[in-house]
This record gives sequence, structure tokens and C-alpha cells, in this order.
Amino acid sequence: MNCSAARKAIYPSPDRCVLSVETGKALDHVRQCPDCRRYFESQAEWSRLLRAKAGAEPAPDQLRERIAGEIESHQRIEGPRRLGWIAAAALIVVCLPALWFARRIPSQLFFLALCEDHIKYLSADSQLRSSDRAEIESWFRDKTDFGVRVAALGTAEILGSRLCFLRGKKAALVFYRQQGRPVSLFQINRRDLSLAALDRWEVDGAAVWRASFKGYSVAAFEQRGVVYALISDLRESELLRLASAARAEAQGY
Amino acid sequence: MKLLPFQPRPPAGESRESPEHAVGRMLLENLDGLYSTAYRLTGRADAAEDLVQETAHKALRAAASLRDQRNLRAWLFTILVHAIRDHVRRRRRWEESDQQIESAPAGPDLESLSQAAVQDVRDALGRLSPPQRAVVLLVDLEEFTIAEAARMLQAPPGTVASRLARAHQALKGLLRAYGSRSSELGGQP
Ligand SMILES: [Zn+2]
Repeated sequence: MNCSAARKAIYPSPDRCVLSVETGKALDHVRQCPDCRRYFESQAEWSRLLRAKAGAEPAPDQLRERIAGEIESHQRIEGPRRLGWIAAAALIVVCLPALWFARRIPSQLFFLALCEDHIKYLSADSQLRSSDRAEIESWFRDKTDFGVRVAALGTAEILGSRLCFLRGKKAALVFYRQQGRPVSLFQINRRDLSLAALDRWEVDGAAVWRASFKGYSVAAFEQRGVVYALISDLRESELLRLASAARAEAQGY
Repeated sequence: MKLLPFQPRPPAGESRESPEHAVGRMLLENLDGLYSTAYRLTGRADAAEDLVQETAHKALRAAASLRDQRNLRAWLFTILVHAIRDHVRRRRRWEESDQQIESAPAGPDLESLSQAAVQDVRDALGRLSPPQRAVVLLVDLEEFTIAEAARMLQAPPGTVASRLARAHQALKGLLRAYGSRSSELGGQP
């Protein structure tokens, strides 16, 4: 096979080309031909440059919120449908007071925003640098309308804290490091978001909600009107273990 | 404190991540890409918003019956591209003559692309025919394979690969023309 036929057979690149009887022979040719390897390398570089220059048109915020709202209302409908009508009716009666406080920010969007904040502060850029739990708790005292608890997450190191504003809501953020990996613990007032946007799991017989966004795991639970959300790229079972520890400790306060 | 060993598990009868959550998460994570693709193929912000909303609606409705959660991203773009194609077809021709190319295009001209202004690159993309622009958006910008793009566009993979090669040639020609224009004017890129 000559250069021209090989390039045509695996255009635009060896990993994105159409698979055909010709592909194998063309790939063999490219492996042995420095000119063809250079050709595909510069083709890949050209695509990367095009992607960088063309950029993306960011979706408008209203569209993002409309879609997040639709996702959430869909999840509310799908949940009860599975339980059957009697259970659904009972659920509506029980949940009606909660639905009254129709949440203005769709919760899944809020958890995505928490992950984006975790990524933004991967270097634990703290407003208060401290490993003293009592000091961090008192630093938050006049900053939030709920009591912030700084749980000891097993052997995780406490690095500091920060007050975040996400979509107009306050979130208390405590930075930890576990096995060399950054872990963020966010605390948010229960009225600002719903855990129903995540998947419910059981850990040590207690409910923990999980999800993943942008490659990061979220493990969340609720205690006394506060939602606790742990975010990290640790193994998910490890993060759920930390969430379980935090939950057990928050219960003891 | 002591951490008890445990085995985290979802409640009985539930899978690891429900399809509704997986689809919702995918939608939010890829919203910019979906919107960008719709905007660049229709040229209108209002149409792009409607098409992305329609995509979300169809995807969420179909989520419960989804058997295979692998490659949800390609599935979402497939729904979007079908909606865009219907939208564009109602207004103007989408089809183009799809002759196979004789040979692969000459090596890419990295210099004219790296010197091109961002606005010229966007303008050049906008000058491609909708089917050519669609392939560039899906393969170069969204990084799908030719096979995935072919499924989205409901066209044979060989045709899509040829269309991409022709689109690349057209883009290179446009960018070279922009380059010589700006050097004639003595301006910087
Ligand atoms: Zn060769």
C-alpha cells in the first residue's frame, strides 16, 4: 500500500477512521512510514488548534436552568411512578409542605456547581488556613444561617475553609486531604437544594446520596436541616466511607 | 475515630446509577457542546435553545427505556443532530453531492491556522455547507469518531470521511485567503 492510499483509508486519524478491510493494511503502512506518521500527527495538531480557536458558544444561563428544572421535575415524576399510585398519593401528602418551598435552583445544577467549585479550589485556596476544627466552626458562626460542623474524616488532614456563593446561595466549604487527594466538604442549608437529584444508597444502614459530575464523585447526606456534600476524585467506595464517618460524627453533635 | 468496614449498596432493585440520573447528568455536562453545535448549524440563538430543549425533552422521556448506558454522549448528540437536520431542511437544502474523494488532502497548513484570528476561524466554519460544517463540528470539535458521526448523520461512514476531507480542504483555503488578505492590508492576524 502506498502513502496516498494509506492516508485516504484512515483519514482523519488512525483512532477515528472508518474500519474496513483496508484499515489494517493502512495502519501497518503508517506504523512503518515516518512521512505518514508526521502527516497524521500534524493533522491531529491542526484539529486541536481548530478546536481551541473555534472555542464553544456557552449555553445561556436561562437555558441551563430550564433544562436542569426539566431534569428535576422528570425525576420527581419517575420516582413516584415506580412506587405505584397508592404510595405516590401518600408521598404527595407527606411531601406537599416541602414542595411548597419550590426550590428556585434545580438541585442537580447546584451539585454540578459544587463540583466546579471543588475543581476551582483544588489547591485548597483557603480564606482561613487552619486545621483547628473549633476555630473553623467559630469563623463560620456569623457567616451562615446554619451551624457549620467540621467533622473529623478518619485520618484525613484538615487544611482550611472558605465561604462560597453558588448561584446566589451560601455554601460553607472545608478543605481536607486524604491519601494525598483533595476532598471538599460543602455544607448548605437544606432549603436550598434537594438530595432527590442524586441516587440514594445505603451505607452502614443509613442513607447516603451519590452522583458523579465531570469525573468527580459526590457523596451527600442530610442532618438537622443541613446538607453535607463530600466531593473528591478518591475511589467512590472510599468517599462513601468518609461520608459515613462524617454522618456518624455529625449525629453525635 | 473508628471507621467500620461496610459494603455500600444501592437500595434493592436499583441499578448503580439510574438511567434518568445518568441522562440528566450527561445533559448538564454537555450543555455547552450541544448548544454550540446547534447554534453553529442554525446560525440562530433562539433556534439553538429550542433544539437543545427539544433534545433534553426527548432524551429524558426515552431515559427510562434506555437499555445501554454506554456512550450516552453520542446518543444525546444523535438526538440533537436529527432535530437540527429537520430544522435546517425545512428552511434550505441540507443534502450535498457526496462524491468520494480521489485521495486524502495534502498535509494540513498549521501556519495559516495558528496565525488566523479567532473570528476568522469562526467565520470560515460558518461558510461551510451545513453537512460539511456538521462533520467538522462533530469530529474535530466534539471529538466523535467517523463511525459515530455517520450514525448521527445517517450517512455511510465512507461518505462522512470524504465530506470531512473536503471540509478540511475548504477550511484551509478560506484560512489561507484570510491570511493573505490581512497581510495585504499590512495588519496583524
Ligand atoms: Zn506513507
